[in-house]
Amino acid sequence: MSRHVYARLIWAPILYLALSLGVAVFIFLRNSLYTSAGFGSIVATVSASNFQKLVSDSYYAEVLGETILVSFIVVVISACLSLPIALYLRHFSTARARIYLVIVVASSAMSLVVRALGWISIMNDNGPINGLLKALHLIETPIAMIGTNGAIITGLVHGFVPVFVLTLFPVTQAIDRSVEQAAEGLGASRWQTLFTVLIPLSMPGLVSASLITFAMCMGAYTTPALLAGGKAMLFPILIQQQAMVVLNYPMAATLAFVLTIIVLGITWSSLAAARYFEPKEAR
Amino acid sequence: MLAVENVTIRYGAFVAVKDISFRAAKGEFISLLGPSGCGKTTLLRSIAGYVLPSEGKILLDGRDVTNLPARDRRIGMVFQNYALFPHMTVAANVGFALRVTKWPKQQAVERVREMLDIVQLQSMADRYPGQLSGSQQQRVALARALAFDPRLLLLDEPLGALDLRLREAMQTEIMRLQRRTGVTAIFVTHDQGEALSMSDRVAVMNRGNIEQLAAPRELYNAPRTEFVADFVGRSNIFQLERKGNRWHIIGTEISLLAEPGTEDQRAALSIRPERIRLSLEPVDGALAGTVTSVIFNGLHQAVKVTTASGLEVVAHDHGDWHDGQGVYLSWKSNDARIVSAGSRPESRA
Amino acid sequence: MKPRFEQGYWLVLEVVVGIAMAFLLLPLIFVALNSIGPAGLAYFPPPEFSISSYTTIPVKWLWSTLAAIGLGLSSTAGGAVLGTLAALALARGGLRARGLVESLCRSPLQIPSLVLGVAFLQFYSWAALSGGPDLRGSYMGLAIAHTAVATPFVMVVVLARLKKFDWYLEEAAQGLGASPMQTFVMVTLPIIAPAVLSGCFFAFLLSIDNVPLSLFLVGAGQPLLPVDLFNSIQFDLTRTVYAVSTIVSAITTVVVATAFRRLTSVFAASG
Repeated sequence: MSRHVYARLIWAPILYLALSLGVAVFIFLRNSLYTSAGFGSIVATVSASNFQKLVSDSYYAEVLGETILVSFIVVVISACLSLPIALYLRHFSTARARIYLVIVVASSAMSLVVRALGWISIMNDNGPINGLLKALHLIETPIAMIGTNGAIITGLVHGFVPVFVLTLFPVTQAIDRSVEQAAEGLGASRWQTLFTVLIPLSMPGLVSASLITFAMCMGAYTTPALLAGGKAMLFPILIQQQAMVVLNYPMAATLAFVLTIIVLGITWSSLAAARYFEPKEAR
Repeated sequence: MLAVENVTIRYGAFVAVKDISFRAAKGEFISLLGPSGCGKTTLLRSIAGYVLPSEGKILLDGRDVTNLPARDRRIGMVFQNYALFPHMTVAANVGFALRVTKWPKQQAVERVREMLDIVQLQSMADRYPGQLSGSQQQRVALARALAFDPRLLLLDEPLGALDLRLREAMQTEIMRLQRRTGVTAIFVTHDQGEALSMSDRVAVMNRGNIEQLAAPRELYNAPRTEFVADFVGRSNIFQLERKGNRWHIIGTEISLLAEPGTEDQRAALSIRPERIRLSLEPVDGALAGTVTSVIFNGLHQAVKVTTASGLEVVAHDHGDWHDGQGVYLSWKSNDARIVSAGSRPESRA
Repeated sequence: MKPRFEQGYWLVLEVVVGIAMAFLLLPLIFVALNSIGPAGLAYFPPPEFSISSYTTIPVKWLWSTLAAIGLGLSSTAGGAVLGTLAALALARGGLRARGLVESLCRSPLQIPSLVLGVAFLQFYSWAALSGGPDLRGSYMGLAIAHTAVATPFVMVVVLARLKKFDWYLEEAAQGLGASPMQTFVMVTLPIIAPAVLSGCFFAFLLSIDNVPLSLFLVGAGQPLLPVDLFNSIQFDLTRTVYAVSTIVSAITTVVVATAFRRLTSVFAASG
């Protein structure tokens, strides 16, 4: 088909997204400028009061800071686990490596709800960890793990390692094997090859996977909500509470707007980073 | 049959094809020969209907098809990368045109079988293009382009991806098929050997122009421009300057009588390396020089000679020459062609 | 001098990757272990071996599973059409505002699902209060939102495929007499179909597990698997929940294992 025929096809998705997502975003941005009269009703007077409250009440900043910190830790741990996996999958084509790849791909497709449930079953008061510690008489009363940032971080790392590996894998896979062999031929040990060849050449993948994971972590709701057990507070949980418990739509919209700006900022900088790394590969 | 009349093709300010006209007779095999970027593929694509000429007309069997979409032209095209449909079998590829133009089923099946017979791929009918070698894919592409009895066959550098030996075999194959079907063919290539050996006539293209359209022998023996002389085969080219009724080789004392009637002040002299004779003894009108290098490549031995006047001349000669030797150069007067001066192929200039 | 050091490298790699794999599998194993035992409140280890938690799964879980599959299929179908059209236009249309259009089409992927959920909730309640249709708590409302998210999923995968598409194939088809529609149906679509299907696969997996998008849009008592599981875990964690979760992960494993070859090739291709 000719170019102008193809060009016209864009109207279907554009109209659909404009009339659904576009209107939804417009309404919610407008609501962020309105005020709540409680119980889901909205006063349609435009003001920046929600944003003022966001700035003046340090609670929001604290939750946001906590969320950024948690996301950062998740990214670091995910990177430390994912790079070895990606390098392993690059190096070995054994049956075990294939099974590992199946585990990674299957994990990435596995329900986040089910995976969080797994961690709840491991960490709860009647779970195997507390059971083992009690049996060894190391503790009298169970340790409350659910609701700690540690539990949330564990769950999020579990959630994002498969995605991280699958983002990184194509990049490590594309590293020319002869470069590695050349390093070894020049007398570099495996460790030297790792730090002077493999990690630098994996950098584009590491950077973009880290930024993508960070952005997804900031917006993640399912895993933190289940592992927070009503105790810990992260930004997405705060938004859900404003929207569904407090029924303060304007405040929920304001918080969601702030989260979106942060996430889009990170996503776009990751695209910019990808573009920065790309030309060097191409030339 | 095919007539291209004053076709110009512009992309913004860039003119890819400049006011080109030529005709191809029924059953003729014409090559468009030129370096990359000379406009040969653009011209071919405008004949096929994929590019609309900015000016000019294209006529097929006397009918103006300039604005006719490609699918209504019934022109078979063999693409550079073959463009075989990867998800269809060989038979389905060959029969594609028959299916979309609604040939009766039985007739289409027979036609596909016949085409596969001609290209000797009967046994491959149910394979997919990905399972074939380069030259087999090439033959499928040919069979597909010829299956619907096209009015014209266009070939866009179809041999570029093959290695030398296969390329020669496919040249013969393409010529055989073209003769057998009697279809008019336009063949685009940057390989002068290919163009000369396959074509009835060759159009040498440079910067959007046809420099010369002639039979292979004429093109080689009587190039009309400096570009043709240098692009088709190798040639020694010397710049000439007009002084009165004589041409002078610039930078030397050598001069020739100019043919009456030309007004040009500049021209070039072209002498094929194999037409230059080397001798140890001076002959009448010979130039004295010194051998500066001798390179043997199997087909011929290229002897580079620098004359006393500073000209560098290459001669193909199988004698026992060596560097530093004093020699005399001579040639028959009708082997030295005066051609119009102009640009030369960049890679050799 | 070197060999021991070298062995150390491979040993560290084996151990770290082994631990990572155990880490990935551990929670799923415990979900399965916890599902075994008598129905009722779950704790580990179970008092006795029993599979009654499976045999006593209430039928409401079937409805909520079917609802999630139905929602996933319908939104994926919508996303497949819209995403493929968007990819074709972006790859081939020579659009003037290509960058802008592409970011718009990708945005549902980049905005957190939670935010989309909140936005659609406020959109639907505004529409209902302004006298428009009330899409709150309806499958229609869910499907509209899920389709918006499925679209970029398909688009991204198809776009990656189209980057390597040989457009001469379309010219070849036209030169052989095919109409634009014949060219698309006989040549272009069959060649990009595997990419469309892969995109659909991802979009479906995402839809069927998208709690934050659905949580705000389902009505009270409206069955939808991920949301029902999510709520049950928080408020009513019985062995039944573990049994249902085990079945869900078993089905996921089977589906992924079946599609594994295609999935890995798509990952390699979309790089």
